[in-house]
Amino acid sequence: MMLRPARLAVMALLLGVCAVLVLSPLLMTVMASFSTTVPFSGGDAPRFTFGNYTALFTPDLAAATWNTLVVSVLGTIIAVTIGAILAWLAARTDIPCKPLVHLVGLMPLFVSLVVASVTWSVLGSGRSGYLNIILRSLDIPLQLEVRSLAGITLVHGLYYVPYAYIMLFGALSLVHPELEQAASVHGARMSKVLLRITFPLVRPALLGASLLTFVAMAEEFPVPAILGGPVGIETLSTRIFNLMTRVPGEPNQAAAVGILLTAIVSVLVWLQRRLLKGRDFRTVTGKGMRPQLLPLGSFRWLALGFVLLYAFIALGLPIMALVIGALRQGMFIRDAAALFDPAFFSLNALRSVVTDPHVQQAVVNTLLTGTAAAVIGTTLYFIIAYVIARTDLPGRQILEYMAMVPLALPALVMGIGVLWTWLAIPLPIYGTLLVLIIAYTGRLMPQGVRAISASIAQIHDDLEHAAQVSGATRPRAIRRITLPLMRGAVVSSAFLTLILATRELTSSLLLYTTNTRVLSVVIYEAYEQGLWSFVASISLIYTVLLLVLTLIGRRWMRTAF
Amino acid sequence: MSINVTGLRKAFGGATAVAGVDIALPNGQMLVLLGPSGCGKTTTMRCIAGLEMPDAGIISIDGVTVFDRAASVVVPVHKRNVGMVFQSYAIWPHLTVFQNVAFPLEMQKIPSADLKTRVMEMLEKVGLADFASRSSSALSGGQMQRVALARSLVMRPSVLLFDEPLSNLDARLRDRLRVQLRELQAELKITGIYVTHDQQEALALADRIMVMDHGLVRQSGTPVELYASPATSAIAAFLGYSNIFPAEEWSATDGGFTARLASGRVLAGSGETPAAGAAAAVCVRPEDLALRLASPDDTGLVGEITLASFMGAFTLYRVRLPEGEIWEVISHDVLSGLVVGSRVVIEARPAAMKLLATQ
Repeated sequence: MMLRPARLAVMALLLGVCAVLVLSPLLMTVMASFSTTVPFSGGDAPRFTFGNYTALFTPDLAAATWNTLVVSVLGTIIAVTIGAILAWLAARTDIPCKPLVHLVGLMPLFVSLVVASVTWSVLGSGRSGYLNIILRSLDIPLQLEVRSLAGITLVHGLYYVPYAYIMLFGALSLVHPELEQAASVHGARMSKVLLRITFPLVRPALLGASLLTFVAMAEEFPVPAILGGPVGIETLSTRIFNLMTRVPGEPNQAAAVGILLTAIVSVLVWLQRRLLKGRDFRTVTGKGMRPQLLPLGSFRWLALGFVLLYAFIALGLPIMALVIGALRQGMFIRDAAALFDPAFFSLNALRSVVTDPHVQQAVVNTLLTGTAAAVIGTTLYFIIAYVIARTDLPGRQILEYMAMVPLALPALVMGIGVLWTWLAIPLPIYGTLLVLIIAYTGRLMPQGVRAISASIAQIHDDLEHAAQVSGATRPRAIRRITLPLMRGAVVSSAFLTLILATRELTSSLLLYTTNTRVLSVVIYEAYEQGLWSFVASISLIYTVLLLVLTLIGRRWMRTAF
Repeated sequence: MSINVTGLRKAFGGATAVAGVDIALPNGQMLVLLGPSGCGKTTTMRCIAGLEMPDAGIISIDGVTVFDRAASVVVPVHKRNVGMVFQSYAIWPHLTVFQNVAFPLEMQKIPSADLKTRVMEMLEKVGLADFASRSSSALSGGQMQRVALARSLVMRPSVLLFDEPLSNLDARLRDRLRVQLRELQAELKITGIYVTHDQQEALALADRIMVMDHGLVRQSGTPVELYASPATSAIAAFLGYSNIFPAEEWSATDGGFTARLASGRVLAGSGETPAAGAAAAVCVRPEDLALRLASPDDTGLVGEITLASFMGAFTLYRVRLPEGEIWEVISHDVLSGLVVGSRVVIEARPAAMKLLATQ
């Protein structure tokens, strides 16, 4: 037992840190949305106004809202359908090459959406799109245009599969095989078993995954910015960004749109958590549970074909496009043969990117900020999760709510809020890498705290009590017993934080300065300037970097999934 | 309603689970497959249900062949019309009690009026009529068990399969449900196969017991036959013979045997003996022995009580003999005054000692 003043000090410190990391960005944005000036900017005296909200009711905003809805709803349907099929195949059937299926389900999580969007725009847009060149060479009278609502929907649908996959894989693995067997024995054919028993049993997870996916798509920035921006298609998030960055800027209106988006997201997140609460159909006792896989018979190879097709479209095509883009010289490509003609290939672009000091700087920045966010973030997440789960400090509930705030904060709002927070606080933090680390740490807090909480919950607190009874102090008991038992979860959370921070674009785009560019920002900027071979080269390096991190981390992350 | 199985074989990878099992079960009878875990009893049952694909053999239900490897006959699970009560009950948590029980009838496309009567009738029979509209995830273990039974019975199956249905329940509930199950089985004349590793359950429920080990049927007979004369010491161990002493050498005598144990002690008994020269063990049930305080000049099975465990209706004693053997004795005389440390004589009728082959 700690003494009262010490207890209060610990809690005050934690609440203070969370307030700066996650609460302040939200408050700053709220304030700006009701004001005529940016908070604490030192300019004109701020005046209270509803003007920013009333100014929102324009056809532009209606169109942006409609676009957001369309790409999110359709994207969710595609992503959840693919994710559910992959999860079912991996969890319940005897599909061949199962580890590969599992990898395919998870892999898109580690693909940068900036790279994915950029690559798809080169693959499937205009006469010079690689796929369009191939289609023409094959005399197929069909041309793709991914710089469209359909294209944004497609990219959303392809790359948000892992969310649904992870949740449904978990839920489906937990369905007791006897529940399905009972249906077969009592007269139900295979399709009936699936429709009446298996999928209804995981309905909570299905709904939860759909809402989560929808929310992520609704606040998604890089995809609509890269694919919609050039053709004037706006979603709510690109609208916020455009209002922020155009000249003259409308930061207060941007804040108002941000709050609107935050409100929508909050409602959905709340709904999702409510749906999942208490609707847990798990019936596993651990006793007598043996993995009973459904024999697919002759459909096995068809099923594997589906998985490979998805992998080819989501991963294979873009990587091919990057390789060609990085190696090929000259923009003009006559036909499909010329596309793959080695005569045009050279390592010049790749060489000049590798030796470019700006790129080198960006690689260092990316790794530095990612690693720092992983180490600092995970330490903080562990302390928060531990305090919430295992202590009786006052204010634990508030801490828990605060840690979950970023769930409802779109990345753009987070970026704007962090920007204004550190412009206001008179410390030399804005303009350094530290501000990026702070933004990542705050943004990834819910995911980290949840993962670690879940693993703390699995360790009976008597284990720690036994250590204390045996004479260890509380910190020592944590260090010797609890932490070693949780090593897998902590390391996996750190790796996930590292990878997600490394592929972040949205808030970085609002926070970077000349010397603090990270790779995603460099790619985004170069794409805006139309430097394709540069973009492809650097994207290739970025993708390889993410891939290496993922493969290193996979050993630990498997436990988290 | 009858089942015939011939030459059933099933291996998982290289491990043989069922190594040639024959079953002929007539109408209205309850067959119990008894054996330790991994003996192949569950696999045998799952092959009959159609949940496993046997490697060889013929299975017919009601005279209809549902599986014949040689003739390429494989009737899929959902068309075999067998009922099954699973170890986990497998009650679907997203459906109500009524919906759970109605499921098999829906699959048979029974008209809804008829369906409703039949479901309610069945719920009545298992005492759950008031629970029809309850969510099934809120039921207790015993109630789930009865829902599972109702769900299997309502489809009027050709045969009802039970996969250790009582093993997840606590001891008192298990005792009660065992009696109810036997009552219901007799009343409805269910033809059933019941899998368990619990000898009490087997003895109480079976018309016929098959003891299985390593994928083979080692002995079959009525419960009384098995209890009275197990074929081997391994089966005896499974049926509650807790005193088993391997014989170093033994010989048949007129109407009995004498056997010398490793400790040098010589035991004699009556009854049949194994084939001459076979490895054998002396097997004694603890309830066939009695204890009394020893006087200084007593000889024979004299030893010291090392454990007295009072069970209510009886007391279990453990007696150590000077040569090192430990004997278990059950005494119904709870007021005998025997305590740990007492020097006692173990008394046995000659018929209590059985000499059984070890294999």
